[in-house]
Amino acid sequence: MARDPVAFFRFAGKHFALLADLFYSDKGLSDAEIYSLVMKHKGDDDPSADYLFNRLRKLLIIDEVPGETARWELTHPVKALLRFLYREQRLTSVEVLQGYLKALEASRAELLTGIQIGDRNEVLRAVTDVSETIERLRQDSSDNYSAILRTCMDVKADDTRKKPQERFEIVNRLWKKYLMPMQDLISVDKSIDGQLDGLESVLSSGIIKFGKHPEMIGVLKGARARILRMRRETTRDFHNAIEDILPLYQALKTDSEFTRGASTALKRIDKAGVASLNLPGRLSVSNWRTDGLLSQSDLRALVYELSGYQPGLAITVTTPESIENAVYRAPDEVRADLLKALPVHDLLEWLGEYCNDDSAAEVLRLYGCFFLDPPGILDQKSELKEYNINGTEMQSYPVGVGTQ
Amino acid sequence: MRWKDLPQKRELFERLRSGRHISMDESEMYRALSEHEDSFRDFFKSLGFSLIRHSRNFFYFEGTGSGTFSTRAAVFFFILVEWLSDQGNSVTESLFGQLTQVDKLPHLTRDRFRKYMLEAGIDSEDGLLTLLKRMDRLGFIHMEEERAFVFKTPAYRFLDLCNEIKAEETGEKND
Repeated sequence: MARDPVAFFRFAGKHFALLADLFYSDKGLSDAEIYSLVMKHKGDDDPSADYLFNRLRKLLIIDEVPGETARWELTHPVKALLRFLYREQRLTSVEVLQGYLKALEASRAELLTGIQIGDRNEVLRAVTDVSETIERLRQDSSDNYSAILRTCMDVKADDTRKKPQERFEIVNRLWKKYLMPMQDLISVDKSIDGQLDGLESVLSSGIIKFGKHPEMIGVLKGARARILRMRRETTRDFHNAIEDILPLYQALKTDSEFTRGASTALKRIDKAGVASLNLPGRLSVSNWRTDGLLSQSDLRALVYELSGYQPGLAITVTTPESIENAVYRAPDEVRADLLKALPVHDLLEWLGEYCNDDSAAEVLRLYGCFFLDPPGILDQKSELKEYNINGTEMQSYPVGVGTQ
Repeated sequence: MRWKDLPQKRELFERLRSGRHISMDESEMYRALSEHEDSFRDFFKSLGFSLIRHSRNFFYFEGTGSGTFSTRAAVFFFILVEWLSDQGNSVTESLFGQLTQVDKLPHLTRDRFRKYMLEAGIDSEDGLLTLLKRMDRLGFIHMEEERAFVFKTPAYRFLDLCNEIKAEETGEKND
């Protein structure tokens, strides 16, 4: 059936309340239930319920639930659109993310072949695939963050009085199944990072290969910019998600462990009696009594009058003068100074001057930090430039940082 | 610092040896211990007492592992934690952030809990109140006119105990 976008949006705009009710219906709806919803939202000037029901079907807003007759549900694309509009994003699992990465690897191979044999059509097809996959990755990362945030808020505002363990299990699942895979996306020591580096490198070689074709350069640079934006935004999403979930995760984890410990202790008392826990031994409390060898007054005399004792000389350990501590600057401190210096026309040059006596490795470490998580708007120049950072020669495309 | 110059030496010794836990609530004594921790530790060690500083920043003397208080207080605490959790409350928030009413405690009203308390040697409201007063004296809780109480930082020793028992259970399962 041919799609009619204008008719779809006109209908959706006029009957949005109906769509919203359909969206929030968890399971499929029978004919009668659909009719009931249609009647609930039908205005006096609207066509008949039969007509509206048929429009829902013809515009592919609803479809039959597979394996059931006369039960209807929203079609997947409409659900996805409403999820986006209502910020009800679903979490993307690691398996889906891995699927994207496999697709990227395949596109990279196609792209490389196209560049090597100079086939512009092949390159354009591969770049389109790369851009689409990168955008999906970016969108799913953003959706993951939104879904994590929503779940955190639900757990915090829990009015069902769930036990700490149950609440912890919800957050723990988010942590393990969704947040950690996001970390894999941005971590510099994971293969994903290397894969994206490889893809960027192939795109750069394409820019050189097709240097005489401005339209090809534009397409290839565009794809490279998409990768950069995806990396930056996934990093930001991950840090935001961590900030939202970590305090809750830790508080619930602690509570859950305490509760489980207390319940285990009570179970043991049930099974083997309180003596089996050896509580006086584990939770010893001083209860000093004077019965026996030393009287109360003797001890007092000892405590109050003891004086004149001099401890022996402390042993001092000297540090050899030849050992120099390596310099590691705190990125947050450098970031604060960088923010004050904005706009900066060349980030690497600025860092080279800022870290005057530091090694090139330290300068590059900081450069990497700010490149992936910039404090302002990045502006990459197209002219290659040579640098000398404390005796190390290097080349790079200058990157400027402007104010947000 | 020379031992004879240690501040509040007498008061600290009297309190610590009777089992009192010194936390930041007792600001002057806590400061004295905190500022001269090593000197105090050596001084008390010379008298046969071991001064412990907990990671949550409170001080106490290591005990001998005898007496009934530890058992009673720990069983009381386990029941309280399970009860708070059953009600869907955040355990740490409830323990340290809210006043618990003594007459609302479930320890002697629910059969299962009463059985545990009996095992620990408490079978009456009076016994329960005596235990709470002792916990107050030792710095684990702060009581308000015998009607309500809130836990103080040293109660983390009970929470450590919960963690320890949970870790043992996990270890047994792994074995």
